[in-house]
Formats: sequence, C-alpha cells, structure tokens
Amino acid sequence: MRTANCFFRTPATVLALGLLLFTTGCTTVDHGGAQAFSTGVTAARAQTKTAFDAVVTLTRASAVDYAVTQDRLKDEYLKETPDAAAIAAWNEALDPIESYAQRLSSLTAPDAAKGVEDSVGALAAQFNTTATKIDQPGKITAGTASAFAEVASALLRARGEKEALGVAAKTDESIRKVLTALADVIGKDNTTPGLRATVRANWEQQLGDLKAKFADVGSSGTTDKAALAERRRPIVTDYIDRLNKRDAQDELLAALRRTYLTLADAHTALAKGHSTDLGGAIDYITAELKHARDLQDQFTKTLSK
Amino acid sequence: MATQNDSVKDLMQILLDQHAALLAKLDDADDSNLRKAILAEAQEILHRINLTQNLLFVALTPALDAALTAVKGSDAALKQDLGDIADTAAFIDKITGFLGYVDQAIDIAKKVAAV
Repeated sequence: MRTANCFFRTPATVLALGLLLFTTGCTTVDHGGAQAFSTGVTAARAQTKTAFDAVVTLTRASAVDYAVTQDRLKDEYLKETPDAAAIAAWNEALDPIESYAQRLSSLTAPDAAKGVEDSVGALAAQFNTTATKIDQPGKITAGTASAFAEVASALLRARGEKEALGVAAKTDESIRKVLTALADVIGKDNTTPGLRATVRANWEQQLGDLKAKFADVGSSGTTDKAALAERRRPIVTDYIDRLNKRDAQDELLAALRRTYLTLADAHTALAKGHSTDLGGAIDYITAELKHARDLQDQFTKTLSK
Repeated sequence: MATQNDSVKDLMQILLDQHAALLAKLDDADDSNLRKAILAEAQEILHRINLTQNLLFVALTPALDAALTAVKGSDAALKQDLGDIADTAAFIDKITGFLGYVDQAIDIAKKVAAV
C-alpha cells in the first residue's frame, strides 16, 4: 500500500536537483538589493524629515517677519512651509512605497520560509511517532527529514524571489513616477518652481534686509570712514553667514533630490535583476545619504552659532 | 494637457521672478524709503511664494493617483505572498496536530483492547 511514508522517502537529493534546475537561469530579486532598497527608502524619509524641519524653521521666521508688518494678526499670515497638509501629501505618496519595499525585502529574506521548514521537520517527527504507534516503524531518518525540510523551504524561497521579481517589474514604472515626482517637488535647481527655489527666496529676503541695513548705516551722514566701517562690519559678517546657510541648505535639498532619483534607478535595477547596476545605485545612495547627513550636521552647527 | 500642478508651477515661476527682480532693485535704490518699500513688496510676494509651495505639495498626490494605486496593489500582492507562506506553515502544523490527536486515539484504543 502506498502511504505518506513513500512521500517522505523521496530522496532529498532529487528534490535538491529539481530545485537547482528550477532556479538555474531564473532571474530573481536579490534579497540584498531588496533590503538595500527598503533601507534606502526609510533613510530617505528620515533625511526628508530633517531637511523639511529646517525649511519649516526658515519659513516660520519669514512668516513672523510678514505678520508683524500687518494691521491685524491672522493665522493665515503664519503659514509655514511645508505645512501639515503638505507633509500629509508627501507621506501619502511615500508611505505605499515604504510599505512595498519592506514587504519586498521580507519576501526575499533568507528566512522567509523558515516557518515552513520548521513545520515540515516537526511533521516528519510526528509522522514517525504515529507510524510507530500503528506498528509501522518510521522510515524517515532525521537527516532525510531535515534535508527535505530545507528543500521545501528553498523551493518556497525561490518562488518568493520569483514572485518578487514579477511584482517589482510590474510596479517599476509607477515607483519611478512617484519617486521622480517627489524629486521634482524638491526642485532641479534653485530658480525654477520647487522647494529649493522657495528656500532660496526666503534667504534672499533676509539678505535684502541686510543690504538695506548696510546702505542705511551709510546714509546717516557720518564722515568718519573708520567708524562707518566698524558699524558695517557686523552686517557684512552676518551677510556672509547667511550666504553660507543658504548654500548649505540648498546643497542639502539637492542631495535629497538626488537620493530620490537614485532610488528610482535602484528599483529599476532591482526589477531587471541587474545586480551590478543595483549595487552601484545603492552605493551611490549610501554615499549621498552620508553626504546629506554631513551637510545637515554642518548646517545645524551654523544655525546654532 | 495642463494639469493643476502645471498651473501652480506657472504661478510659482511668476512669483519667483518678481521677487528676484524686486530684490535686484535694492542695489540701485539710493533712498531709504524706497528700499523699505521694495523690501515690503518683496515680503508680500515671499508670503505668497510660501503659500504656493504648499499648494505644489498638495497638488502632488492627485497627479500620482494611478501610480499610487499601482504601488498599493503591488504591496497587497506581496502581502498575499507572505501570507501564503505563513498559511503553508500553518497548514503543515495542522496536519502535525492532527497526527498528534490520532496518536492519542490509538493510545486509547490500545488501552480499551487490553481491557
């Protein structure tokens, strides 16, 4: 009589060979790449928050400057950028990508099918116990059971990686569209519409105030050139300080934009199974994020002076 | 076809250009009152630039509706795949559990037979 025992006697080596044939030539999503993409998205979000917080601080100061020139104090004069609605819109676009990236990483993880492996091992042991009780001594050796469980797990993992590749390929265009749109809102430069241009305009207003102060000091009719120079010195120093802050903040936002664009490239490489391109993109993101963090530290230090 | 996002961008470009042009006049303004007037006008425009920037953010998601729906769909598919693996393990665990009950039944049957 054919029993389930026969099933368990199937040589694990045959299954292993089958697995080898199944996976050879299959392009799959590399777990390291999926994990790196997921880490990149999470890191980009953290970096975005830091960058946006600095923009809020800047634009809030501008809002105060604006409000004090008005006849009445109204909430609408105190709008900072990005405000709550803007942040919500940003998160609405980034949240699905972050969730997708995390699941992609989970599905391709080496231990994704570990639960199945453990369950198959437990089933084999239980099968032996039951077989013995019905006077049919168990035929599944511990080694065979373990090998079979591992093969079952590897098959599921390979299936998961293949599934992940299919999903990534199907989603790539949409992922690219969203990430590119986020980069676009940050701005390709600091003169065309985007956050970089907005930030620059806020700094230019502050620089304009200092230019006016500088000229006003000179128009007081003083003839003592040395005294005039000393009164102007702190204005010039302040001017240089704000120029540096302006440039540091712009570079921070430019780095953030590059990160989003590189994440799009990383996903395309992931979806095509191009590990070389993916590795290059991930290296670039890692370097960009470090660069961005260094800039942020520099910017924070400058702000605290 | 021009989108809401394009219209907001066009408005933003006009505001940015005006703001920059006004501040550029500061270098040639000899009179303090004129400088104050220029700065006050620039500040009015800056206030509108900041408001428009918020609109640019908000206009982002409607323009991405189809792409976001696709990403959410893929996220759901991956969730299903992960669920399938967990279901497989749960199914095997149920068989193991079932065999455990069979063992108990056999033990009882053997005891009854011995009596």
